[in-house]
Amino acid sequence: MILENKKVGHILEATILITEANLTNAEQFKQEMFDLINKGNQHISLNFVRVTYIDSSFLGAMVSSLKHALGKGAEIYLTDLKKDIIDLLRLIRVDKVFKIYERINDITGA
Amino acid sequence: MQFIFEHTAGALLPFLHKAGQHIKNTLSNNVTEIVMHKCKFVLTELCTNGIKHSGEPQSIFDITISEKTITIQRTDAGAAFFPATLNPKQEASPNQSQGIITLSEDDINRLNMQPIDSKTVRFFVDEVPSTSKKNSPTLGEHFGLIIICQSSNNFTYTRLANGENQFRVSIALA
Repeated sequence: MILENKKVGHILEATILITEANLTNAEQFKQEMFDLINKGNQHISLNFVRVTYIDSSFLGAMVSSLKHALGKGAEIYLTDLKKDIIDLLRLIRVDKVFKIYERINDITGA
Repeated sequence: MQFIFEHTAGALLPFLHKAGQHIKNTLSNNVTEIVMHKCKFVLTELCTNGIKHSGEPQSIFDITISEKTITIQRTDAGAAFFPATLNPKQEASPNQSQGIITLSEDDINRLNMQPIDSKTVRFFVDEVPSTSKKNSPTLGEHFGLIIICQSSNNFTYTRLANGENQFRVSIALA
């Protein structure tokens, strides 16, 4: 289990339980995300509070999940990111495609 | 210093720790956090590339540290990277007249390679302009080479005369 899920208002908050998000857990993460999206969750907030590092495989799984969500009319938000991870997202410019918030309460309507 | 990396996911974290410690120790901890992050990004992505694409059980890493630069080199005996990529029959990209070949392009990044000679290519990334905040179906899912390019000052691949593959990455210390 990579994600721990709970409802916060109309948003499903999925907290990533691992610290190193990499090749070893990217596929399982993607499967769990696809399951959440396929169950009809329209607003999913990914909480990165425990994550200290992500690699390209995990980023690929995140983008794949985002594309799947958008195809179903759903939204994915990222919250509680450490500075190093935000720096990596900026480095490869994927900060332009994800909706990034400091905390879940900052998401409009949460 | 030379390290052997076994191409298994379980070997990744111990290898990153060992290689990172070597860099810190060699520089007597006189290295910025930014440079250490860049080294970790590069090492991780070179390892992942080896696991996913080399088809070989292991790679050899050489880490060389000079006064101004950290050079990380991964060598394996797997399939060649560029003979297929440099196939002249492939669809020409707009840059190809300058010798630049676009390997991939999505709404945010364009990954290019430029032949330096008949055996070596250099990788670099361009930003694709006018990206809106909204996603699009053309967003790529492969970021390994892009992360290495963006974390380093120079990134090349060479098909060695003995048939081995060598990825070489330089990171400036200052």
